[in-house]
Amino acid sequence: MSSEHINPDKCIACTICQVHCPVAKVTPNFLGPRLIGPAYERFRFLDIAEEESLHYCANCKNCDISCPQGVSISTLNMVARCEYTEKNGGKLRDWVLSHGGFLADVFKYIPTWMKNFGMHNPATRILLDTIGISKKAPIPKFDKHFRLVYKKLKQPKLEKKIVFFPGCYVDDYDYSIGLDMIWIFNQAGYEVIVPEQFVCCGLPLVSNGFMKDAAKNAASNVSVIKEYQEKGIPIVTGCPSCALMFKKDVPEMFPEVVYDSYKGGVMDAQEFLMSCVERGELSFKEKISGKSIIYHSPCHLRAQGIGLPSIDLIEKLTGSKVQNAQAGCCGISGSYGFKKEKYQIGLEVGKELFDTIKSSNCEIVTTECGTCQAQIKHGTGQKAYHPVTVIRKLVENK
Amino acid sequence: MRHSDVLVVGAGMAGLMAAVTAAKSGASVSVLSEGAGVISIGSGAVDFLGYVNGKKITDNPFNHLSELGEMHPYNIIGAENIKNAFASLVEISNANGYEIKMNEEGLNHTAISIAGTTKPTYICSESNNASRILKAKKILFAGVEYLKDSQPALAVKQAKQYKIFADAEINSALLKSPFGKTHRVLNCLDLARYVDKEEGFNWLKSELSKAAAGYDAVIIPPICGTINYTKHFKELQNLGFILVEAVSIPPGVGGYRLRHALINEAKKLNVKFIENCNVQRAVIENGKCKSVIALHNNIAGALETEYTADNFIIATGGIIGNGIASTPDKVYETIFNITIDSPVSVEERSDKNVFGSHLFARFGVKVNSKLQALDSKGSPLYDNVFFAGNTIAGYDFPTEKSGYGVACSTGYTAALSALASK
Repeated sequence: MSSEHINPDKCIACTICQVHCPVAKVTPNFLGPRLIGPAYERFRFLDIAEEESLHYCANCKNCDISCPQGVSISTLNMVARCEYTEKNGGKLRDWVLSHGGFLADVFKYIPTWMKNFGMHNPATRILLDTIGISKKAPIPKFDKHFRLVYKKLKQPKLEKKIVFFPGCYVDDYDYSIGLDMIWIFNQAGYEVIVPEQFVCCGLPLVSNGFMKDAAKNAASNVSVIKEYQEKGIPIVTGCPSCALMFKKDVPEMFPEVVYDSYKGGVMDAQEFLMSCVERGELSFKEKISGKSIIYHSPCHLRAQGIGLPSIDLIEKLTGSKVQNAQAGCCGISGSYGFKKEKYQIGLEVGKELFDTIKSSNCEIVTTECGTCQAQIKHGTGQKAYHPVTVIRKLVENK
Repeated sequence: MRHSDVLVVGAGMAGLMAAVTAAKSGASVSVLSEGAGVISIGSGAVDFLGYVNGKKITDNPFNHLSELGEMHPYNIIGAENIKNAFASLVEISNANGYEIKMNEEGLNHTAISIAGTTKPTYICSESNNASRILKAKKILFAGVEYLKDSQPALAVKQAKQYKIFADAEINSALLKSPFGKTHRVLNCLDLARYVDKEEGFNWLKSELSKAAAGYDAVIIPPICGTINYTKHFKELQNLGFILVEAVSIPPGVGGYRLRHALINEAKKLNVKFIENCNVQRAVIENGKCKSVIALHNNIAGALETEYTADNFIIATGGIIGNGIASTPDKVYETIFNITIDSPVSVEERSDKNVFGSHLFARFGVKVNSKLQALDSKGSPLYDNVFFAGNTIAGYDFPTEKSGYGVACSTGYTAALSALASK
């Protein structure tokens, strides 16, 4: 673990991150990003015992987004949490929640119904509840393993190639998003490659305190990225959290695995598709009936500093007007909102978003992030779809 | 699309005002920002001009613009633009749930701080306007238990030193905290958010009723709600005493309300926000700015995106906001790399008196009345780039108490210039 030291003195103690922290907003039990990050970091230098409320940080990155001084507050928190876990051992619950990608890979040949029966029957949920995974939490159901489906898929032979990093959500819980991705890239003239060697991006591992496992994942993934970058093939992902992990956390936490031309490694797929539109590679002639659409921007997308390309993409390709909910964090933060003691915090954080979606009366709800989709369904009763899925539905009039 | 009619860099007062003003006229507007903009932690009071050359202004501040010298941003843009900008800000804020106003006779309001000091300000909420209690005979300065930012006993000591309160009896009290002792020390925003809710509002109402018996006026920290402030404050005014909210150190709550109003307006006008990026440099073609290049998620070595626009408004702030960099070698504007005249010796850039008027506070880009940057000969550097707020040279906002006034009025004027150059 050779994370470069972030200078806590870059923080001017202005409190802007405290103001924009969704968790601090709903509970005074959390010290808040400024105090738990840069301020407490000085005590960590002196090896003083860890602050007890560190575990409340959801790693949603709103502190980083709001900071005017470029302090990587969330990284300070995550590195501290990982060091604490390493010294004191992690919780079984946190291990289970963060190793979903690994577990799903182990069980990928087990039939989906059997996995879901195993995970979602009331007895298992009670058992999980006792280790700290709330029985009310919207844990997504397993779906067919995306990369097994991909292997059997016949794509048109196209000259341009693109590498797709599916991420665990597409791989294990919603393979149809992956198929929609392949569809839209094929439409833009790109044949999609999904390398078998890709593993979980490592963000859930970092958020749950397992830095060493995350470092291993980063090293394997970056070596695959390097191989394709050297061939001049771009790498994209539709998941904002995976993209942010590659762009920010990997170079910050594991600088030893990145190389000069790495440049964040992976691009946001929607941003790439938008550039396809601008280059004239992607458009649809079909007239599409106007549906009302509301869009939620995942925090990990906002943190990337690329704006909200999906809004432009849907509007440009389908002619529909998209309403930007602009109502803050949904409260799930990956596995955070699944945890028994965080479940209620997650719902309170997401309340503004749920209210905004419900009062908009829009027919379609869309957001890139899989767990945001699950939380929106949980908080509003309305299913949320990935933007690329929305485009496909509208174009194919489904 | 990554092309906009008007591209604004910076999301503070100047940037948001520019964005909203341009978008109101139908322009497509994008805002690139690093950080959420300082409005969200400030008091929300908009200072126009409190002091000139160390002397406090007691009449209409517009009467004193000429004393600021012709290179001051106020004199560069002129009184008309300032008046229109302020009127527009008040209209926008009121239309989006945060009621603010100017003094009817054109004077500064008096605001009282959480520490008991007073300051002149020009536009603020009714609750922040402490001019309303200058005739009160019995005043209560109330804090809240465990709210450490507010120490009313100390504030009373401070307030008693002012002539304006010489005839009043001022006492202090602590309202009972609704939370008891908490792991994180409470701040004003925590309480204001609680008061947004019905139970929180009832708590405040009942605590105030109990504490205020016998007083003409009560000063409390800014805790009368965030999004529900206007509604709540109106109701609290019926309790039989004059209620004042002190302006607070960050998080100042009033600023949170004001930013919420501006962002709400921007949302209605479809302003696009690209957050957490850092604009590195501009691409210049044929004497015009073609685009700016923004670094993703603010990490060195990351990918960059190019944003093109017809016109650009640069509201990146001064030295603290990183719009202006001061290094031992030189002082310069950070996107266009415009050199700023400064003494070679770093020591000469500041005043020995820490509360004095520092030269570095005046560092910025020299501009003309359209707010275009000027070269050494006084000609515009780029036709389609306009500067706003603390990126502009020639004013010292802490000693003048003119920060948001300049930011608001130059943001507004920069937008008009951008619209006119279409």
